[in-house]
Amino acid sequence: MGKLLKKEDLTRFLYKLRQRGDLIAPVKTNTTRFEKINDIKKISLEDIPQFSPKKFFVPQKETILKYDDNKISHKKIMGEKIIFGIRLCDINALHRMDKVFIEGDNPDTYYKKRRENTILIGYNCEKPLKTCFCESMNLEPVYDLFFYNMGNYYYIEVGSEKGSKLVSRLKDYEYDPVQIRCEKKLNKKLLLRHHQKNVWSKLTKDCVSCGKCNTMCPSCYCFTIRDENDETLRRGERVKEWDSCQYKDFTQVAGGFVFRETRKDRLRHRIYHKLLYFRQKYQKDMCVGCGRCITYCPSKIDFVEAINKLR
Amino acid sequence: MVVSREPRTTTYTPREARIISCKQLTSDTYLYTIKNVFNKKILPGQFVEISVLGVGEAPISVCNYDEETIDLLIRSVGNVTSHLVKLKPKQKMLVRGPYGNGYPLDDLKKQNLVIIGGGTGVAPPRSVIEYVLENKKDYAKTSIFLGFRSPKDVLFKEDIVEWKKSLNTYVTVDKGDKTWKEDVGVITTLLDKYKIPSKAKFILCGPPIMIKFAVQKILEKKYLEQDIYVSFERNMKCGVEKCGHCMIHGNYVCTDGPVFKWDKAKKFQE
Repeated sequence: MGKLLKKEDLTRFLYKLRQRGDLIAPVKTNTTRFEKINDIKKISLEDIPQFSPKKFFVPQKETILKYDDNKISHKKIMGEKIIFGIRLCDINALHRMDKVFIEGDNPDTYYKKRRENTILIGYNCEKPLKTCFCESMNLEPVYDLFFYNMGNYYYIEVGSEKGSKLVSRLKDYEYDPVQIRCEKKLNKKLLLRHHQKNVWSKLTKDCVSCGKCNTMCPSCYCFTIRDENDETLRRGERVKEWDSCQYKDFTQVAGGFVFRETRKDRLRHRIYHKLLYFRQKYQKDMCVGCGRCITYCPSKIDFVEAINKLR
Repeated sequence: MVVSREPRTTTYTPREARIISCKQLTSDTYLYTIKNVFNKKILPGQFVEISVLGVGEAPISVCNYDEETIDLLIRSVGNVTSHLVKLKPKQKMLVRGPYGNGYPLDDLKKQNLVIIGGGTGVAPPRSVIEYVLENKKDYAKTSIFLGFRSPKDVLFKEDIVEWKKSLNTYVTVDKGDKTWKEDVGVITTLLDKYKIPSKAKFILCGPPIMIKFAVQKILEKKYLEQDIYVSFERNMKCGVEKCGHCMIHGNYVCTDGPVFKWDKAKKFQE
């Protein structure tokens, strides 16, 4: 059982939601990306966003502590966020990142709070891109609410108690949405067996180790920690910043030794982390099939095709 | 509406620990004893992240500990460590941890132990040696093989004198001098020269090249892969299996390691 919302009532619905905290939704400028919304009319649901909203959970650069001589302080934990118009792949990417940052003995303080203080309202993809292969990636309905375009209406699927409270006054409606179908498929293989195959050298022939696959990926979360001093050299901030496993210094230790020396080693590590290592630990893939790493790769490297051809 | 507030501590916040003493062991290596400020029980083989605000953090293995103190061996090789070695007693060191799995002391009980350490790699097993000395009745025969570049690089000289009193302890240097009375040569030669029990568990820590040849030698002598424990060194940032840097073949060196059994570690591929 879901709910029905007239399209003309969307602005009012979002306006009310925004009273709880920051409203974040896709905006179309030169690209479509998630921004904090001041003018609800600027929200654009049409295109699949080029960027996922991961920066609102793992910012490209984030202060983890401030120091003044030896005195340490922390930045404040921010209030509630409503993410509207997020696609199912990006919702799942967050859900899978939760495993790393929330589960286990040492949850990440800021990430955990941010996720707890977030309402996720998804939007269905009617037309996947040519590079989308989410159908192969076992996406789950891990949202609070999920919107389907139905002409003059939105059909809203409720995914959580938090979500249910937001739409309690809307009309009940029953509808069985059509599942997303993708042209592109990933035929999963037991990658462990293929580690030493030639295919990885061939695949990385044109790789330039730019790390774009990491930045575009909704579930790539690896980061570095470094200190940034101000001009006094006494005060500054320790920051947690996106890092890329494609960079040579990612595995460099004091003294200079690099463990993953070649581009082949590094690109293969990314694919294996996504589709094998993460699964070994968390029983899910770290890839959600959004295809952004293929679409935006300057060398058009397509790891899905490479895996599909493995025998 | 959620009220914003400043957290008192976070996953990455270090604690202040007073430096109790600092001893220079070689030209670039220092042994610091700091106050144990952790609520968690420490295990031999674990490590801590030490901060120098404005410079960064470095993972340093715990090389001995008790309820009151922690020993840390710091060699000035990188940005952080070169700052660390300037710290003096009574000043504060910033630490977080302890992290990592450590050596499985319970699995090692009643066993013959062979401890092999090279260079600063002697530091992690030092806490095992001290533990064994304190709980001698729980362990069978223990042999220690240590290797250093030259006589002036030998670490823990005073400890070695103590260890020799009750454990078979052998020290070798790659290149000796006039004063050097002990063995000369790489550590693997000691494994041929001195008798080791036919059944034993091995603890190895040192440069990758030493690990490689020592493991080869041990396996040649028909010991089992699952009886060899090796410590791994990797680039680490967070220490809590999040940042992704130390991952090797799906294993986080910071939490699944840094100690791995050889039957598992031999399968690691970049």
